[in-house]
Amino acid sequence: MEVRIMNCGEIRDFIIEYNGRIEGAGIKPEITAEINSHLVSCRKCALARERMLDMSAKIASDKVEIPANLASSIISKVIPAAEPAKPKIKTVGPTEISFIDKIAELFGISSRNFAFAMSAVVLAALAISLILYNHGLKSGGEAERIADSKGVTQQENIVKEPADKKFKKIENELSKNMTAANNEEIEKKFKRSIFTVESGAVANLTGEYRENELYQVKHGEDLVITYKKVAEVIIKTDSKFKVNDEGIILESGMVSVDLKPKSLPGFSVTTPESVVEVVGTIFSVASSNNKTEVIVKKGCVKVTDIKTKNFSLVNAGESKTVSRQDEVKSETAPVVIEYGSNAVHEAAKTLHANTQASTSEVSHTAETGTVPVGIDGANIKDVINKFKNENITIDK
Amino acid sequence: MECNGINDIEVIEKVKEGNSAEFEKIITKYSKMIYSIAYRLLRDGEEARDLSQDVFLRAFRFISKYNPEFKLSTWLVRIAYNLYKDRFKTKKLHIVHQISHGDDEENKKYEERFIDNSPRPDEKVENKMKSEQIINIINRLPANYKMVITLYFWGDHSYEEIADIMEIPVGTVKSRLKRAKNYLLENYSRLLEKWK
Repeated sequence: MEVRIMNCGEIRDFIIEYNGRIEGAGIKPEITAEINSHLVSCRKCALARERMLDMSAKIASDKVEIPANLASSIISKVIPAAEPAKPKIKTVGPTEISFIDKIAELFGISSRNFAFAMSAVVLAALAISLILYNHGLKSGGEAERIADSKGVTQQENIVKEPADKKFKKIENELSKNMTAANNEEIEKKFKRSIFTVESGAVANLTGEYRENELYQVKHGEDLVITYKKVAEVIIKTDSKFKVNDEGIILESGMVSVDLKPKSLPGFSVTTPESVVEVVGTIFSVASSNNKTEVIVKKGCVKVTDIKTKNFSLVNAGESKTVSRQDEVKSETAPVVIEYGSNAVHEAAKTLHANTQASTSEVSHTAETGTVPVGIDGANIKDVINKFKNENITIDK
Repeated sequence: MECNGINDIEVIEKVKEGNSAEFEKIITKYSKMIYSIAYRLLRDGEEARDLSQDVFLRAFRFISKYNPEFKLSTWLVRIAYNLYKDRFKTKKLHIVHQISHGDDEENKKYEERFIDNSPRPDEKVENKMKSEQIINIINRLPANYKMVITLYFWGDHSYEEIADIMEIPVGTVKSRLKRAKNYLLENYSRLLEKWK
């Protein structure tokens, strides 16, 4: 029988696999004997084995000094900062459709479906009244009676005023009921969820609160939320957004984020064009017209083009524009406001200058009359007050 | 699953039920292990502490996603590995060296950067320097090779556990380990030749 003898390469494989420790490594005795025999005759392999043994010993001797208070410091930072992810359970609470319930109670209707239909009828009637009123097809009888009884000649005013007030009263009450109920409901659900509304108002576009539900910030107001207790997020008026466990999905509008460093790994703002991931920072994201503009005030974010999957890091003082036409531009921030007394004025000047220089890059901000704001410092409440409702006039 | 008098599954169940304080036991039990791995990957005490903290923060937040089929230590190290990869990418620490043979240009660059050309030190100092140089060589490995080496030499993990942690087949673990060790031996040998 022919006995095959291992070559140097095969011997080295054994040396490397067993870190030079051939004896006692569980290798078959005949193979061990062959390796030993080879090592006696081959200086190179013997040297390789010696070095492998030496290197392994040196690696094994590497010791790590554990900080004395390691566990306690981690506990102090982890336990209060985090909330375990709760199972997603859809609940239908008693306050879910309070307006319909009220209608049902008013008319003594037990069936909610019928009450819903009744509500629709009432709302439709109000809508028709409004349309008729606006087209001047109002009844003159009552107006004349009121005019006669008060003896006033300015008929139009007398007729219009009570009708206006009456309609407005009904409209206000209805909207109050609906808004109050909705707001209360949304607020309660937000508080149970991964974010809390600090100030401002949000309109729920499709009904109840759910993860990934689309919301729109009420016109004329900014929405301030605390996300997972560690990030303060300002969502500008009229912005459309969703919130989920990874962060915020911005359909349109603008978001400004102030995040404690390293507090929320993986937090991101997603727009139709890009994903902006936080490395620990203060930044703003504006999305409109198939374009996303990211401005970093402090720290660093990772911006990933959703279509091409290309990503880049945007540092403090830089901005990045991602458009759906695959145009990725990076340049010095066109508008970054330092928080200070002349911030808005300076921003307007900067915006004006940049509008002249590159209209396309600031078109969104120019259209809406606002500028992306980086928020500096710990006193975010003051900044929020500054940030809210600041309309910048652009000199034409 | 039971170690240091703590049953991981029981503790995790309690945490899932809302008893956050129970998570302290997990941190107390595994923080040293995670820190050691983090330190060996990052070679910076502060960074290692931050990474360890992030590991437990993420574990606590996603405790409901823990699969009891795996050891808790495996799951925690997997989180550490993923966070490390993220940081690795972020800091652009990607290694330009390929684990290959005979790339003279790369070897020259390596020697210029890492091999000390000063006179041969005495034996005691020499041993220390050799250890440091080996650590330097390990530090220059790409993230996935470095992780394999770290878990193999210092983590006391089996091939199967390393495969679970890195979510790769056992065969890939073995081949990466072999290539990484080969690379270390080659560079260590080159360093010794230089010092002769």
